[in-house]
Amino acid sequence: MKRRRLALFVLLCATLLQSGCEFKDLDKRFFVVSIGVDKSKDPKKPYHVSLKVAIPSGQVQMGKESFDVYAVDDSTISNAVQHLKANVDKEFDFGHTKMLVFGKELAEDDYRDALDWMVRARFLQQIAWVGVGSPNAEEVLRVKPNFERLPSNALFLSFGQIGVESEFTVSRYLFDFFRANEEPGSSPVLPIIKAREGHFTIDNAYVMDGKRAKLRLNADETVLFNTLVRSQNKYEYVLEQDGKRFVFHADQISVSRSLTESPKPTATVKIKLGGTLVESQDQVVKEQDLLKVSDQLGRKIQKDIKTLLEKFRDQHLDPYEFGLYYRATHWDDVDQEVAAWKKMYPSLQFDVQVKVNLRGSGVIE
Amino acid sequence: MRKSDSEQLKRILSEELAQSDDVEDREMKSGELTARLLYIKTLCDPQKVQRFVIVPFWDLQNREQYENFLLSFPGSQRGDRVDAITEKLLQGFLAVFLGDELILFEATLNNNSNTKEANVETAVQGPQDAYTEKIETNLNLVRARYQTPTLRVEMFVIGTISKTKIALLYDQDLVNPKQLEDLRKRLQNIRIEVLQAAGQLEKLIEHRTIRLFPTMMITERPDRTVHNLANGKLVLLTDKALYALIVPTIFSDFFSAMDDMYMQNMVGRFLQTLRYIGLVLTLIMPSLYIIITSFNPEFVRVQLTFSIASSRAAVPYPSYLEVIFMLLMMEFLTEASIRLPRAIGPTATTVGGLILGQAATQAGLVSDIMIIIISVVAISNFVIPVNAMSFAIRVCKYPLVLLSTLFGFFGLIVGLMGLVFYLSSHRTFEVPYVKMFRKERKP
Repeated sequence: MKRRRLALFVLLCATLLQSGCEFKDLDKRFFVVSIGVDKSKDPKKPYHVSLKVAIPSGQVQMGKESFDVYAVDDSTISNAVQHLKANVDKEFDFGHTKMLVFGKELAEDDYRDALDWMVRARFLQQIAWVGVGSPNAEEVLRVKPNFERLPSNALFLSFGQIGVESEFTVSRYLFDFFRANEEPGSSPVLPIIKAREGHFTIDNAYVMDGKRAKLRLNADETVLFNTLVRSQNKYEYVLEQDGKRFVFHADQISVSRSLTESPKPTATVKIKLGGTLVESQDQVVKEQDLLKVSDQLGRKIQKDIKTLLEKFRDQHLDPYEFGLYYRATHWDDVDQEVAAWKKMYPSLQFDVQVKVNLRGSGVIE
Repeated sequence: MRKSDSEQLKRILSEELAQSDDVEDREMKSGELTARLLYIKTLCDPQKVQRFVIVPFWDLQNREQYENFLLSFPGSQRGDRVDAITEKLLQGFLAVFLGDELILFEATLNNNSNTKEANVETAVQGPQDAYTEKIETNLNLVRARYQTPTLRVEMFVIGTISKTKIALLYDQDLVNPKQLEDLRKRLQNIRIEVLQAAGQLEKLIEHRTIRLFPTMMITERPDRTVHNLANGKLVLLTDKALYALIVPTIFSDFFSAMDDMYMQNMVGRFLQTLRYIGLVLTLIMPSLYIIITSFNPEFVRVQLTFSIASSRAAVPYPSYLEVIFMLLMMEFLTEASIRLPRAIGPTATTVGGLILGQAATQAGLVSDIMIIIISVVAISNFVIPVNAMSFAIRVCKYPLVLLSTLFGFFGLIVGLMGLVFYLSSHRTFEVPYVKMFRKERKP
């Protein structure tokens, strides 16, 4: 009995050593909030990796944040991160790395290795947001918004939609981006983060083909794409007619889609929009004209979306994931399904039906 | 009333009641006059009995005179129906048998002047009476609230020197006979010289050597006692000890205050939920702080991480020393304010509170967040209504702190699992300690 107790005691003492390296106080760590990967000019060291490190300050105030960006060229991303440790006195902690930025050049060339590293790195959380930085990733990391309280918080808030809810923003988590990248019948979309003096502009997006950024969506196309995937709940559309403009604010949206293979492969997309007119230039829209205006609006949005979908099709991109829809509704062998879809997609016809329900003219008569 | 009726009545009454040790059944004989008195001692005023019943019996030799004398008091009446008589006896009446006649004489003892207000287990809306140091008064308090003939009182004397009187109370119809027999045996086997407190009695009844969680409820509230008696539990009253012991008690009993029962049921539920939340908070908050600061800072939002990091910037020691330091300071403060005389108590808390709250952070010994955590731990610990449990929980958080210091999150989870295992290994009088549903399902 006594010996057993002694053994237990020794065992307990041995556990005291167990915590070892894992135990490191928060104030002995540097929190990396964003990682940027750019293409460097040196062909031997192709990666230009930049880390944005937060320096916590006592008083959290708008615009009073402090951070540092460390960047280095290296042959691999892992090496670069290890190399950057030489610059600091505390251990890097990637637990709060929630923004991963590809440089524009890298994205347009080949981002696969960088994505592979991000997914593999065990210390990175898969719920980090991914974006493309313009002009390059490091510039994006260096932006210091005047209204930001904590480093990179502005980006976390825009993508997490905790703060701003913008119809121009496409948000992609790392795991979701990786999934869409690998999945046959799906093309990932990434937001373009434009670095400005003291703020960001996020209103464009890239559609990737699994290797590089292939198609750039302008602001209007991004809004239409967001309408399709319903990532937001408020949208505004502009209708131009006879030199006059109406602005339609939609707050009720429902989208449904279906695929038919015969007689001709056709994708049907039905969109219902409900909302009000919020701006009408030079004229007051009367109640009796509402039907007419909503009809015109519907036709316009229908045309735009059809054009966008055809554009995707012609570029062999599928961000709206018709391919996944096809695969989800077929029970063949995976390879067979993928091959059949690849054959079918280029000749796919789109039948877009838009129904606009104008609830009011937005004026009080 | 015929003679046979009266005999039957006497028999029923003594059978119904006389099994309790506080029932008095005696005969007086003076010449040819015979009277038999039957009453519950703890409910009747001994002075009244002596002055108005016993003494006149010897003075008035005539039966008719004595009968008229007794009936002249307000409240006195003749009794014939058994159930009515039982009821009266339980209210503090004396039954005087005079030949065939039965006279009920009111000798109720009112203990209002003797009882104090409950101040350990306070209730907002509910009876305020608390037990006193006298077992007779306490029995009276229970009897007055539990007017049922099936209530039994058994008296024991424990302690070779102190000769402490112990009353074992139970409801004959509701009690589990196995538990009753078990407790009787345990009481008889107690060997001790001096017995002075209910908690001491609890220790003597329980056999375990290492004890952390209370397995018997110690209460000062007669209403809690009565509620438990009505649920078939056993109650021990100790003379000169103020508190009652309730056996068997399970874990969830320690998280109910009497107020829960008196308030609207949704409010009662809410309050109970609140206490369990408090339990979880007081148990895991210190460990969680260590884990978040030293092992897994990614566990909380980035905003919080940074504010902890910045407030910890001035602290030179690792997080677990900070936590242990603050926990100890809090325990010192609590202990000091409990044991100090009432006059000095507030000074200690003010000085301690000031030092802990302000100076410690400014001196860079602990972080701001730590202060908040310590206050949460202290306050949520006080939410647990029964003191014995609240003390046990106070002890429990230290092993968890040790485990999380060594193994991080894994340690905390294993520690909590261990705690659940430990709790569920308890049995009190063959009742599982962590029983989820207090009431047995009726077949």
